[in-house]
Amino acid sequence: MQQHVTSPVGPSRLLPTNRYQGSRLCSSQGSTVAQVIDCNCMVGPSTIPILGKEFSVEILEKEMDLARVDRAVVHHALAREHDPTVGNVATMELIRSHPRFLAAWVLLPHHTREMEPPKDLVERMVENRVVLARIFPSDHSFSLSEWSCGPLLSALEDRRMPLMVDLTQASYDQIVAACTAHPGLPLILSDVGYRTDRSIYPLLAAHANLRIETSRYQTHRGIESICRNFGASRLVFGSRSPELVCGPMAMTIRYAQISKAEKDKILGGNFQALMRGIRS
Amino acid sequence: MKRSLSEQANAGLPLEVPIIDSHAHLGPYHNFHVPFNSPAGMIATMDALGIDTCCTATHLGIGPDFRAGNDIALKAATDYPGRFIGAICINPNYPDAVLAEIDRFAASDAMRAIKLHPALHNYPADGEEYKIVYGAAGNRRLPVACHTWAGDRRCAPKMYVALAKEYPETTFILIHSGGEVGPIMEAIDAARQSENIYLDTSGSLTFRTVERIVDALGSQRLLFGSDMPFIDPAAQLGKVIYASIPEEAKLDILGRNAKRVFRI
Repeated sequence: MQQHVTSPVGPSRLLPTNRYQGSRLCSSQGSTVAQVIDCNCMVGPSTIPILGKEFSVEILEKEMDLARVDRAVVHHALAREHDPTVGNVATMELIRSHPRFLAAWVLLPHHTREMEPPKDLVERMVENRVVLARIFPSDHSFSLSEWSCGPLLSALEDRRMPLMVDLTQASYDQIVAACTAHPGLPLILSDVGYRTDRSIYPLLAAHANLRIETSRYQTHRGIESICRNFGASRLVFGSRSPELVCGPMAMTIRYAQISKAEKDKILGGNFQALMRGIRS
Repeated sequence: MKRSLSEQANAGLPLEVPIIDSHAHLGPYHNFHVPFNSPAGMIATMDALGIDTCCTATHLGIGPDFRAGNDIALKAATDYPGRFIGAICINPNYPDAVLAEIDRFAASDAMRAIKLHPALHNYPADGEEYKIVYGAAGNRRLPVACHTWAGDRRCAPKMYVALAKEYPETTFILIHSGGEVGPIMEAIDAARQSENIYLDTSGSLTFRTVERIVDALGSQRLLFGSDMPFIDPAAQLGKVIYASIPEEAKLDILGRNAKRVFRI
């Protein structure tokens, strides 16, 4: 019988030394400012490098500095484009030496034994203080439907581990089914384009556990409209770096015609709340 | 010391430099929900960002009724002088109306450009009806804003090289600069070959292209365009604001070049 493949990522080896430190940062003047967290970044060598070279940690940090982004949730490109297990190890390696980063792991359903059984996998994520699960059903050739991903989604739901899924990686009906079957799962829909309101409005109305990552959501005054209709808690800021860029994507929030409190929630507060909600 | 543009943007403040949005629309669109698509809704967006003026081709105008759409653009420019200028939409599928529609606005100072959309109209950029437009535009000193998309045989950027040479008095603005990051070189090559071709920054897929265009062409052949309210202009503006180019180059792209092209 084939054994489940366990990556060499062990909790004792991988716990980052400088962890997420709470909901506020102190500015140099001593006053408190809201923390800005970019929850959608990828670093490392990509098959088609958008810059014509690797999108390195250093480039991402430079772009974060320019846009005054404090922290970023990252996954390694190898986790998406090569092997999630190998890539997740690479993610943890870079987290260890870069305290501004928080870890996202790319997951597969367990059926082919490329990854551990879901409960064990999610337990290990929690031990390693991973703050976000990512899946790419289309790229990785599996279905988001319950018959395939049900056990994985249940394990994530039990721990309230946020899960990010690109809208282009699954169908609307599959998203609806996942939200319905797992109402305790914080599901973040990303790659949500500017032409999607007629579908995402009913999704947001029906599923309180659903949130939208903002990078691709470039609908005219769309941030403002979602806040008015569903509340600011339904949006989390992400840049989708390196495909998109921290600064311009943050401008969509910073110039939205909403209150400062709402902007602070979208730019970081909402993701911080999701992190606090992860059950250890 | 005055804050840099990126520092102003980080603070969410209206940008304190002249900004002309060379590519905007107006009104509802059949394909998706467009919140706050009225002139007032767009002006609120412009005020928040510090955009002074936008050149608008209405959604109705690029769609089923160019005449009614052009009337709406004219009304916006008349109702909000200085905030809107209009682009005359021409639909080549109504050949009898091509020149008449341009002439209809001959006495108007509010309509400062012509807008063509070969993809929506399913008509090639080098088709005969469009050639009538290019000639008339040159005579009337109206720049022609042309939707472009690399790989689209109706409006690939490379098609404009020959057209720009055939109509040297006409200013061509290649909207979207070919539409995607990879094919941006095709648009750059077209502009390199013809001084009367300008590129435009607009598009949801054309992030990380401003530096490449400025490296190849300098900063005086690129216009800031947002596609508002088709797309929210904030991130589109951010492409220029956060680009690794000198602040002076940003001022060219944001306003100076458009002021020259649209004779503002």
